[in-house]
Amino acid sequence: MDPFWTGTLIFLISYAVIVSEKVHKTKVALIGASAMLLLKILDQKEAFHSEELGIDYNVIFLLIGMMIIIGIMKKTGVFQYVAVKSAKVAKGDPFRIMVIFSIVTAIASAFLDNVTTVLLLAPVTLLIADELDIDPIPFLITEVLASNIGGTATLIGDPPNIMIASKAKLTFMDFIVHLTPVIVIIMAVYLYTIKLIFGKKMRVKEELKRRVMEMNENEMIKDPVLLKKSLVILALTILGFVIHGYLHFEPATIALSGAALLFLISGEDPHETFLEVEWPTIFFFMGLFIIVGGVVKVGLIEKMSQMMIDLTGPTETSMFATSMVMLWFSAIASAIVDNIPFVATMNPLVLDMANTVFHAGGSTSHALPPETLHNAVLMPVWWALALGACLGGNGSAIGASANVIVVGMAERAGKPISFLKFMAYGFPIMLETLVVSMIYIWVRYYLLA
Amino acid sequence: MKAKNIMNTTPLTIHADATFQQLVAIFSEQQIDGVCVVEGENKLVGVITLFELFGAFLPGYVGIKEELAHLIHESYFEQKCKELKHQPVRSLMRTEVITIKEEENLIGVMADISRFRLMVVPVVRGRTLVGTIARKGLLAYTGKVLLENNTQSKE
Repeated sequence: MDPFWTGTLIFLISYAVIVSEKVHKTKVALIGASAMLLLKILDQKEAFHSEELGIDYNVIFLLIGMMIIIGIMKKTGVFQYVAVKSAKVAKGDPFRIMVIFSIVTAIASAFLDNVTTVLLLAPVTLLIADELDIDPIPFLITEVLASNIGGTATLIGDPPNIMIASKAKLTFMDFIVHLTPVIVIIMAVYLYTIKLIFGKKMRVKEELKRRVMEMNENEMIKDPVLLKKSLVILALTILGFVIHGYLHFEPATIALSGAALLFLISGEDPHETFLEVEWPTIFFFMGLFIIVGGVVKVGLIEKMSQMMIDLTGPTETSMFATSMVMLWFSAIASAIVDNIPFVATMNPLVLDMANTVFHAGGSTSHALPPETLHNAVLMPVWWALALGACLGGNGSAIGASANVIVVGMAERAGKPISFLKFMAYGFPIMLETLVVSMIYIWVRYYLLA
Repeated sequence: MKAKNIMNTTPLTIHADATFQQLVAIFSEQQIDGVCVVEGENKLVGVITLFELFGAFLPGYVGIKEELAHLIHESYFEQKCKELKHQPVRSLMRTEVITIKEEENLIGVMADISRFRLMVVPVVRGRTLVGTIARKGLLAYTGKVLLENNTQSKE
């Protein structure tokens, strides 16, 4: 068979099986990657060492580094401490707790991965709701939606951003300057929306509020010394991210250095800590990079990029239609498909499109000069992809890994959240956040530009 | 030594439809920490131990983060007692049970008890319960063997 069709078939079958959720996504990605290698669509050197076609180790090591830091830090109980403290700051009032938990979740998700954030905060939410004798489901859903919103704000907040940053050579500060402002606006709109929905519905007796006020958050801190050490390292790592562009270090270097330093000073056992690394996720990424590398090599991505160009007509002076289509298409796709394979596919597509538009296809897509990658005309497309892929995750219960985790936890705690119940909250919120994003992109990059 | 030589052939059992209150009464009166749950003609359907009994009090989120149990309000225990009182043992028992056959050797039984922290090991023929080996029974037998050793040494 023609390599084009072989590669395309492997890609399409892998995508279809991942969407069906019949087989674990990591197994699918590894089988797909093996097929690309065994059928000689890619050779091993390309898969392991090529910047254009192979595994993006910047993404892999950034994820591993952060997972190590968080894995050590979560043993200290600091996240539970913050959650209980927040509930007390809200004076046990359910709606105030909902707002403060949403804000805490969004901020935590901007710096930690979303799954870890909800994994740490959801059990405390269940406890507080139980103590207040109130339905925990609205709390859990509003938290996970806030997590997906907050994760969009920074380079390290959500895997799509890490992947986009690596391919587009964007820095942590680029995300702070371009995405954080719109996420702050989106959060404000989001909080106002949940006020309209839940503001007047949540009333509990004073004696129940007292139960929350009597909780001793200090009991949650298990290891104060480790807590101090890990907070210092996390702060240094975030500082490292802020200045990595000036220091000319890749984000993965910063994350790995932070993890190594914390290993050294914490005295934690590597065997135990490495169990905290989400290896299935890491290998899912590796497999996907190889699968996508295969379809880049056989020319499928080039064809898709040409379709995008024909559909949206990007030029050297404006990519408005491309940005808008990218935003909505990414969001709808991410509500249905995992946003990680989606972004893994879209990244080379955007690079190919940029190569066609700015260099008439003359350059190599993976080695475009910074003036092309960061061209003011192209930048809104990158931001549209990030906003669409991350915020689209709110559209359904399977749109983001954090949603799946929360739904699973709620079920385990005897408070199941149905697919439709999640969607009844998540889908309108996704539409709302996308409309805000659309206005932001239009105003900031086209109206005021 | 085989399981059939040391097992209790007339073990205490509880019916799957017995209530939580009856279960607590049996555990405290008989001073046991695990019992086999049966239906019909001694058909084994589960096992319930002190772990499941106390675990029944815990909210689901404690299974995810156990430290949170320390923050639950004081009257929760009494409230939960009322809720659990009439619950059938069937809804609380462990249904994935490690069982052994009569021909199993003693060290194999000890290995299962140590590895899975078992309170009581059901001995089955097919799905029928024919006996049990409890931790205390095994300990008593070990003591007996040691005593016999001492006597033989003196002789």
